[in-house]
Amino acid sequence: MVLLEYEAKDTIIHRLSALSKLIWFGTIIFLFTLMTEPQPLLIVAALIAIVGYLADISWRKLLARAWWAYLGSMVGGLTVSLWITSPSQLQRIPAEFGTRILIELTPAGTPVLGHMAVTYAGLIWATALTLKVALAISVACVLTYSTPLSEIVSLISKVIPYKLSFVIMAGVRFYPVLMEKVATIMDAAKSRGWGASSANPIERIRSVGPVLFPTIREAMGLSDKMSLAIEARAFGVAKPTVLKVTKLNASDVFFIVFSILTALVLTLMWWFYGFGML
Amino acid sequence: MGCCRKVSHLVVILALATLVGGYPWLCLGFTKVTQGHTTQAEFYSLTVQVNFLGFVPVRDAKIVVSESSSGKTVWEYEKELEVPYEFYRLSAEVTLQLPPGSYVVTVQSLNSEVKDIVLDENQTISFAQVASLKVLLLLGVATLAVLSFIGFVVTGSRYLKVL
Repeated sequence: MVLLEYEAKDTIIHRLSALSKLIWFGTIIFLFTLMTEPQPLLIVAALIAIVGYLADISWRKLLARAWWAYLGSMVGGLTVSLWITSPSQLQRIPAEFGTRILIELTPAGTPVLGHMAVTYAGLIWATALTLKVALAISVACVLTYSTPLSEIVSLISKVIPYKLSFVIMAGVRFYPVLMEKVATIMDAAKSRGWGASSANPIERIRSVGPVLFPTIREAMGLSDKMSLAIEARAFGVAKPTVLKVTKLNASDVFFIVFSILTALVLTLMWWFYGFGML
Repeated sequence: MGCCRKVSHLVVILALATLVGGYPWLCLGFTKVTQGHTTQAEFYSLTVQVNFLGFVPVRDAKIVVSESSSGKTVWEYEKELEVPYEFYRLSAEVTLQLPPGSYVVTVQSLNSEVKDIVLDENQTISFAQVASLKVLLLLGVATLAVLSFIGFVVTGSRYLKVL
């Protein structure tokens, strides 16, 4: 899903080809899979901030749209970190420090749940996970904000079947359109006196009904219209014509080299010094 | 207004999370400070740090400690140096216990550096001129990354001006 839609701007990031930005995106995601500690992620955060600044991204807009995802990642990270209690889960951090228990929730050997506790290593790991998810959302937003989806689809369809790439991109694009529809439905419901302000959670769930059913209907209608539109364009009869040929200029080459080398530096630091290993 | 409130709440939550995340390192630092270097009777601890240019740790270095007067080797270390776990510092180091006296400490890797010390208290000595292949590779790649970023900004800006 797209949290921040493409805006045509005249920045050096917007002018880059989709391939350069996808490579940058790939290197950042690679670093996220490698790092289990927050320190290198702070460097990655700085890189994303620089590229976002060069792309003239609206951070306020990003926060307003993605705050729930940041919050969710924090809650999720802190929850999963409760199971970081064993020295075998740690690579670099001293076990006597990392597994020191601050609060024990369930003792070792508890059926189903196992040993759950708040440990130092757990807190560090949770911080890293929260940062990773928050940064992954941010980097995806920088990508979708500065690159038209059609260019991404065109590139992806060179690697995977074009029907599959269309399905993926339609799914990605569906979210903001549906959210706009939901906002309209909620406005209409509010004008008829609808409200979901009860403190009782069951009441709140019940009160969602008048908005939920029109939303489902709208979603079905949207998918119907889209299927009609793609049929009208003879989708599936033959492979679509490529509208834009990817060309790399000097700026693209420098950006690709920069992305790969930055990832290489952090990977070497991880390998040589354990920088980023929990 | 609602949006601003959400944003301000988020900022507060993020700040709290950062504090919570930073707490373990604070505790680790405190533990290290309170423990300090253990001094045994008649022995002092000597910490040898090997960081090229003062900030790039060199792990694959050989350390030889010999007596100044006789030239006899009293301690030798050929394994990879440890990088202690800390939040803000990357440093390759090893700590040894020696009786008081004058020593010559030699660190060897691609090149070597020698320092004379008089050990009459717990000491930390740093070697900033010893480099290894790994360190040179790392610095080379980092330099190229910075240059490519400058190249990207310069060429990107040039394209903007042309268009």
